[in-house]
Amino acid sequence: MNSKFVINNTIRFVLLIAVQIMLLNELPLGRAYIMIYPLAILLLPVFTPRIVVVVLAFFTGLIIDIFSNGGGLHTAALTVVGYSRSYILDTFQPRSGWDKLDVPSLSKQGFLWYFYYTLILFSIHHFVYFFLEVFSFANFFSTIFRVIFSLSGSLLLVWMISFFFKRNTRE
Amino acid sequence: MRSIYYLITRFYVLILFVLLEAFALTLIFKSNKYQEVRFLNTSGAITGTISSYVHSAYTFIHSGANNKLLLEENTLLKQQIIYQNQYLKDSSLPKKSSNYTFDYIPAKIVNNTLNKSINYITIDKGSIDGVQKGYGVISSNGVVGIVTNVSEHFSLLMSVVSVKTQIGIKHKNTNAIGNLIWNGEDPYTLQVEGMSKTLPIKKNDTLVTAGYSSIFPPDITVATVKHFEPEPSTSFYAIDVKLTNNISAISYVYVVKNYKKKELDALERQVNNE
Repeated sequence: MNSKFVINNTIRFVLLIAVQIMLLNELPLGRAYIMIYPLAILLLPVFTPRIVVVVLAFFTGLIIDIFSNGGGLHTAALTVVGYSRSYILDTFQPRSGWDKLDVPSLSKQGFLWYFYYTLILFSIHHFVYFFLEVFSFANFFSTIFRVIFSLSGSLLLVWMISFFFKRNTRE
Repeated sequence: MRSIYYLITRFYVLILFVLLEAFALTLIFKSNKYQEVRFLNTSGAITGTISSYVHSAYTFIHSGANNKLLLEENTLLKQQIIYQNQYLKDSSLPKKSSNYTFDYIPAKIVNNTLNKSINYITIDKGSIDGVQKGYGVISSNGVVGIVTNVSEHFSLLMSVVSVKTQIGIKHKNTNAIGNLIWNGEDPYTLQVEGMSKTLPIKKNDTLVTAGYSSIFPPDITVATVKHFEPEPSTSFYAIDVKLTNNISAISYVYVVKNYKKKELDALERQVNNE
């Protein structure tokens, strides 16, 4: 069971990083920037040790940074996501508490739960990324618009991907 | 001692998080301060090679448009050769002039972004091919950027579409000079500052490089005027321009090598120090 988790998660990490670097970084979308790689951290099993989540987030961000000339922006944003994930999971736990083998996924927790979970953590990620990039609150509203456009794009793509894989697992 | 041990066992995740985050922030600070990406970039040997594979598909998609551009450039060069041959035969002018100090190194784009405040482009020529930090890069119909990092086989340039670049340009009809900058909003619209309100500027006017710096040769077409209006509080126009090259779709560029760059830079530094 444990090794199956490891293999699944490794494949998910590699695929998400590859899609981000090869496809999403090349999209000519003007000032919006669709990022879906935080999903790899979000979908780790609930009882992954917190220290492992933070370290994994750091290195995933570093890889994305190296391949997109990010200069540390992705690393900083994703490490914050890795750290805050456990608090969001604690706040949003089911009434009976988390099960030993639970995965925070669409098929296990239902759409509404998944909606809030991704919305909150992706918002944190995009806010940190875009505000660190401009490094000031000077053009606050233009930065906020960038966050909102990019966030809606990223989330739509994330939900589409999640629905696609949900149907596959049921069959 | 015991309390420190307790603190570490209790908050080790937080401590690790703060350390990693501090490391990431240092990277960002450094790349902001020195206007270059220090450690994490695609100009390294391994990352550059992987990126060039990834980007080759993208180059293939745009190959139609690129072929057309290269063809146009070829035709233009052929015309110039014919013209120059005639010109040289007809007159006894010296074959070398002060303008012949520029040399061009052809290169291919390996990685390109347009969605950041500071956009970087990686090309497949490095120090072995003679590229150095500070060289300008142009395409067949416009300027592309300035080299910031150089490795053996790859180099990284800061694109014109970056909030930190500033390129000296002039209005083709009047020779009035100004600066090409970007306000960080629409990557297809750049701004020009320093053009006086008294100038007869029209829509679709051409702007070319000024050639006062040692980075770009003079009279390379850069952009056309898209929209302009007088700024109320200053004596300048607020001008929006459109680049003549589609920077998201170009694949082949030329690095501009100026033989007199060192001399020029040294002279200007001397003046600034005095």
